[in-house]
Amino acid sequence: MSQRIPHLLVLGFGPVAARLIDELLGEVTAGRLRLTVIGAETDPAYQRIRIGDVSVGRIRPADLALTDLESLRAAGVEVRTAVCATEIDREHRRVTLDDGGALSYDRLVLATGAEPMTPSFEVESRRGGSIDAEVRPSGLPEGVLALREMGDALRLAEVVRRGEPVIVLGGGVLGVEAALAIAEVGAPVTLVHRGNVPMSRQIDTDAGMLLRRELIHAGVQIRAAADITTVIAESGSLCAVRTPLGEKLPASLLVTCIGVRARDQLAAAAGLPTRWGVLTDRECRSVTDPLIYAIGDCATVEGKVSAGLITPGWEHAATAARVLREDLELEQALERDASGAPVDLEARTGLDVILLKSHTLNVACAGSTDVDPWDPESPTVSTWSDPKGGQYLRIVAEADRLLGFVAVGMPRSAAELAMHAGRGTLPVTDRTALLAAEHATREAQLGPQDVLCRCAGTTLAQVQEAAACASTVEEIGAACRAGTGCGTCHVRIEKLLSAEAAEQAPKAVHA
Amino acid sequence: MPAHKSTREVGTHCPYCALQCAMTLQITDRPDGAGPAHPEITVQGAEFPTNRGRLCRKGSTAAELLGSRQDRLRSPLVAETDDAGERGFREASWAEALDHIADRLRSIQAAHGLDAVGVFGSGSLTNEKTYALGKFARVALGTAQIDYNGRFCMSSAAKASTEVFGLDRGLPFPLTDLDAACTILLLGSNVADTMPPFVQHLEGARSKGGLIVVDPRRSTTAELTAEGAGFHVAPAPGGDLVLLLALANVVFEEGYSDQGYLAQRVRGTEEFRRSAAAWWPERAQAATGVGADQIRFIARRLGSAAVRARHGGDPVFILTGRGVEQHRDGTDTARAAISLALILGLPGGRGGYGTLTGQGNGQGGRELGQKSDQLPGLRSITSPTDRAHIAEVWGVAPESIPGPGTPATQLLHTMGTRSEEGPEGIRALLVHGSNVAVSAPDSSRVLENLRSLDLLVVADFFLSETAAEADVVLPVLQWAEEEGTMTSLEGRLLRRRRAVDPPPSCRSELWIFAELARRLGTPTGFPTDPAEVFEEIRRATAGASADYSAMSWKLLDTGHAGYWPHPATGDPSADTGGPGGPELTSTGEPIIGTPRMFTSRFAHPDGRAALRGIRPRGQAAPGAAELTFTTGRLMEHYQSGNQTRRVPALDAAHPQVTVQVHPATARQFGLTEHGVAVVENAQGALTAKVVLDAGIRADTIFSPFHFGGRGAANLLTRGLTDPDSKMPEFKNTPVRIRPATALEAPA
Repeated sequence: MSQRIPHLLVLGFGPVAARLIDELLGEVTAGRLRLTVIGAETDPAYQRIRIGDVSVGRIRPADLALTDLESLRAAGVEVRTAVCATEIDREHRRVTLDDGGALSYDRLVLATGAEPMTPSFEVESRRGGSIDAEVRPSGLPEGVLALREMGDALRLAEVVRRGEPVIVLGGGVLGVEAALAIAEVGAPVTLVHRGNVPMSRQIDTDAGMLLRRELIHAGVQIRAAADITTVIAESGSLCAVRTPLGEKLPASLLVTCIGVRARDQLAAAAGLPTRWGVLTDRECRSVTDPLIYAIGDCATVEGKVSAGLITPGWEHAATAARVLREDLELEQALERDASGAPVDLEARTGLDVILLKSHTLNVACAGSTDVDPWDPESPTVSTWSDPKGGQYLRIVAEADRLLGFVAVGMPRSAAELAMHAGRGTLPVTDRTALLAAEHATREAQLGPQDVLCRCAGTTLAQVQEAAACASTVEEIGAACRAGTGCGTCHVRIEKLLSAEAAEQAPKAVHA
Repeated sequence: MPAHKSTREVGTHCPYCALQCAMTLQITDRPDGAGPAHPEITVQGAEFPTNRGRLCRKGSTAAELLGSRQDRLRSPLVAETDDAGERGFREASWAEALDHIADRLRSIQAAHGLDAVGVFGSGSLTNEKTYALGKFARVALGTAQIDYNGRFCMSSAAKASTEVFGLDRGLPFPLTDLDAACTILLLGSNVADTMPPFVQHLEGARSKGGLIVVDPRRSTTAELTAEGAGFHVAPAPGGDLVLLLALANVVFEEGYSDQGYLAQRVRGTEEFRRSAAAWWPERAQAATGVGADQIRFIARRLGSAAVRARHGGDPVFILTGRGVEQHRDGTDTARAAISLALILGLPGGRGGYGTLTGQGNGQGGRELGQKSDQLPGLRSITSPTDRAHIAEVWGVAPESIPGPGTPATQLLHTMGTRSEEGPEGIRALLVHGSNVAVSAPDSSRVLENLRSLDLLVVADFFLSETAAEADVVLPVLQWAEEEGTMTSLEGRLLRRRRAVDPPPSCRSELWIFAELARRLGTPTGFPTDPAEVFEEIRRATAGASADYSAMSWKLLDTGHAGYWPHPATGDPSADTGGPGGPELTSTGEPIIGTPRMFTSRFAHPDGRAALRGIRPRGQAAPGAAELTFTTGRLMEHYQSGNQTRRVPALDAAHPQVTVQVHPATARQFGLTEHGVAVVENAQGALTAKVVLDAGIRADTIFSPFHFGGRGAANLLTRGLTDPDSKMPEFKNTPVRIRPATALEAPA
């Protein structure tokens, strides 16, 4: 390889790109790699997945920052924000930008993410309460947004702070999270979704029923099996929406959460195969152009379409970084054991886990749980359902493999199952052991041969014997060494002494 | 003349853990008979700040190992193979044994270079022996290859403290400061079993409902949180780092961080904050097995307690133990714990961070020059000024001091082997106060490597599993047979006193080093009087982080409580004393040196603590039908068990290795209580008695590491080490478990 330093161009500057840059930063600092990152937003990478918390004022935008521009630039990374790529010229390995510039690359990483799908509404424009003659059939009024970028979150935050009504359209994870967060801070919100229950694509109906009830408890108004056909604008700003049944719901803001679509148009235009994202092999390389990688929501890695979760995206970034190191003959971050042999800690691949972000309601799920437990062909299904107690748990497994689970209102089980689902393992075949963890406290009951003082190894019986002619903890200690160590058992010894005293007192009366 | 008994008392400290409980030995010398004296010794706990008169079972039975027991090593032994090919030992004179060792060392070094000889030390050696061992290796042997068993113990916390605070003192405050705490977060430490008298210092926090224990098991210590005394959370092994980052994330986002403190005293806060922001509670669930609600709850408890502490409330402490440190990411985990303490504004007055040192002299052991990358006083072996200072004390040229050596696990896993890629392993090893055949990871590999060495010399007082493999075994002194100093878990210097005479032919290591050095051509510089060695330690550590220069045996013997650093010269307005005379300990000793560190500045040149971003790396995770194997200690035993397994009462309490299994897991794998299980993986197989316990995570099993042979827990652990500290991964090993067959189950 020549002395020329290879140039890696990264399109997109979201959390997945930030992780890739982090993985390769050492190579940039060491002068073995030139790295340029192009971001469409003005802000550098932030935790997009958590902007819901910004939208209800729980955290500040700065809390979500993933990178520090100054230190990235000081490390030698060229960062360009508020710029979009307009064309990939694979033949000349060049990318054209919308500011008129162009950049060449040795390797190109697409981390362009996804964009929200925009629903189509009829717009009813009003002015001073009556229907406006000038209907604008195209543009939507002010007040309709998808919760995708920081700007959206800040606009929503403004409306929430004023306590004005918000409508959330879409019963997926994003919609449920947004509606719940708004309700949690006490602002009026209505969730409009299509299925009979929210998150109907992720969880089974019973879990969905409980989720629906918990959302209502939390203060979310729900319109199930519904949609929005018309948005009503007053003087160009949203004031209400209308459902197909004709119900009119007042709204200062409509948040649409009906799904996202991979931003793969650039790649498609450049002739790269795409299907719900840029098609790549398991190493995140385009199936037809080995100089181009795709990671995160814009990629379909080994046929697996992105579900919009961050953990798989970060795994793509780690994979791409490792492959790029080999590809560009950079330093390998190879781990060796103490004898010097290389170590390959194989990452366990399991299910993508969905963990609802909420301060009041714990919901976690993975895989599929919509299985008929009575079907003899079905895998093993275990269900715990206590709707009035706000608990629901369903585990679907085959042999020692977890196929899916959903947990509502059961945080311990949710945490255990989420961890195991991610690894592809099962916590324990006896599901009741999981339930026990929901209230794991116990007090040991000692038998006479059980050790009461662990420090001295003295049994309950020995202490009882000593207690017959002792009245203080110190006297017990002198007699049998119990209580002379850590002192934890003093409370027990005192209880025993007072019990002994109580027993002896009436005897004395009888005597 | 009529025989008469005379009883005397000697005040000393326990031979075992770093709590260094004070004890009084009552020695009744029996009338002289024909053989050696067999004094009758009773042990009583003595009033002292750490133990307050109490002792655990190990301490109260410690004297049973003194005297001329049958199993005590009483003569040098040289291995030989008889006509039938059976390996055995024969007794040899000291002259013969030492001549033999010196000859072999000379020829091995002539053939393979100076670094072909390795030295392995211990956190059980006195300060004086530790110092002399490091000097012996680097001056008399001229080898860089010295490390010690503290690499398996304190290395991660030490590395993290050095990086963040600028130096490493286990508890940078007196232990008794814990008494006033309202909240204590205790991660990965089962003190109720490992150092029971310590539990007294958790009483204050318990009475305020503020003891938070993090442990995958409902350990005896976790049980102390019951009945409103606090909380127990049980993350999966390997989840501690993420748990700490998630706690930090909530502390930042919910406004509990101490902005003023961070602005004045800490750098790198933003970078740390950004890395913690990646672990919001819901996400952290999937990496820890701990519920988001629990994470928020604990963060808020810590946060509100820290806010109260800022306004004069009770202090808040975060303490770590081996449970979170003995990992491939142990340094990052300890750094995260320290970082959490810093963002809460705790260190230097409102509580703080501490690590609970394990071995008796685990603190002195890690600062006096037996670590592969260190010179005495926590000095760096790569720093020209540190090398120059030590060279002058040792009377050698700075360039003659070897550079950094190979860390313990790497040393043991490469010794006696030649690899195509890496450097050649050492050919000879001298072991002092350590039982590596039991305590090092992947113990069958270690055993195999020990057998392939050209020379193995082991100094011990009982024939340990490691000594049994030696070419030469040297009988040395036990705690109550020698003089010296130890540095306890709070950085306090303590005197160890000779109470009884050793068996006649046992010798101190100091004498052995002097004799070997003389034979190897370095006739001076190895005094055999520990008091004289201490004087040299004072000079060697003068001006260093761990500065002992104003300490003296005389001050210690006249009832002073000496905390390092105690510089002979320097800033007189240092943290000590005050207008009302010196502070007294809880048992009335005047304090000298520095009981509390970081009150006005941290030990970095700019006075600030240094935070950085922390990103968890991939973990070894069990696959389907596998469990996570973790290891630890029992109340009744200490370290490799070479001492405690010989005490009848302790042996009877826990005579063999056990494996703790959740009842549901036991049913799943066909195991029954008290049945025998085989735990296995690519490294090896462990045969252990099953103990059912509903308090352990269902996906985790636990075995103590105090046993050898087929019961050695380290048959299963692997030589994966932390990139920063070189700490091996002891606590998170994927394994399979099954009932033993009739042939496998011991009778």
